Amino acid sequence: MRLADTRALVPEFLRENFDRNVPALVERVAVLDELTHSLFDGQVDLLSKAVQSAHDLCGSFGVFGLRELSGFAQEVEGILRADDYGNASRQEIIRNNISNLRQCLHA
Amino acid sequence: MRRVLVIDDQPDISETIAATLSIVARWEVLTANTGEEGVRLAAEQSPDCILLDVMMPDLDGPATLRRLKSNSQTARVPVIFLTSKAQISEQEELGRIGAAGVLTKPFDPLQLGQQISNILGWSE
Repeated sequence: MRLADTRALVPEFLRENFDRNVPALVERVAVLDELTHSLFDGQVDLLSKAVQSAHDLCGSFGVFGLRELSGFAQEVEGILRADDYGNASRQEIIRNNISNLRQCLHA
Repeated sequence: MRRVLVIDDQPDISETIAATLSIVARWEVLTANTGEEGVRLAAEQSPDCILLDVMMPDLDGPATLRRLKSNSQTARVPVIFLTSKAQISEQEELGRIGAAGVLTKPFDPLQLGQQISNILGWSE
């Protein structure tokens, strides 16, 4: 899914609002990506920031009715909140979800 | 016309909820991006309902609710919390501290006004 497909899922009356927010959403996904990479590298003090970042993305996609995208962020938030990001399979889920979010916002 | 106050630290979220409720439900919507600002606006504007984010820096949702409940001007305004599904275990606790209800993100923008009305027993 690319940005145009994502936009088509937003109710028409919110599309202008969505367009205005796309750059900020792209930036937030990049921040979450950086935070999780640093966490996996052992910077555990960044956990609460990463949880907040995933939580914010979940809400931001959620208010536009973008359930699938909100779900990707929510799954990341859930894994981080449960402090369950230590094993390779969980890290893989987080990487995949962030990659999906990035792709859905790519023009 | 119903007047709703949205308190969320993310301006994109509060603005999008405001657009949704004003266009779909035709309600008047006020927004605040901190708990402090929300408490002040609630006392000044007497909204019919407050939508309150749980997870905010500084004054978080539960602390904001306690402030609202301790002020006679705002104590009776129903407050609905906005949470993510990842915080679902906290929902019972939110009810105990005085929330009128909890809305879980993501929500369907076209149904949001109806969901709020259902929680508060409003007939539109």
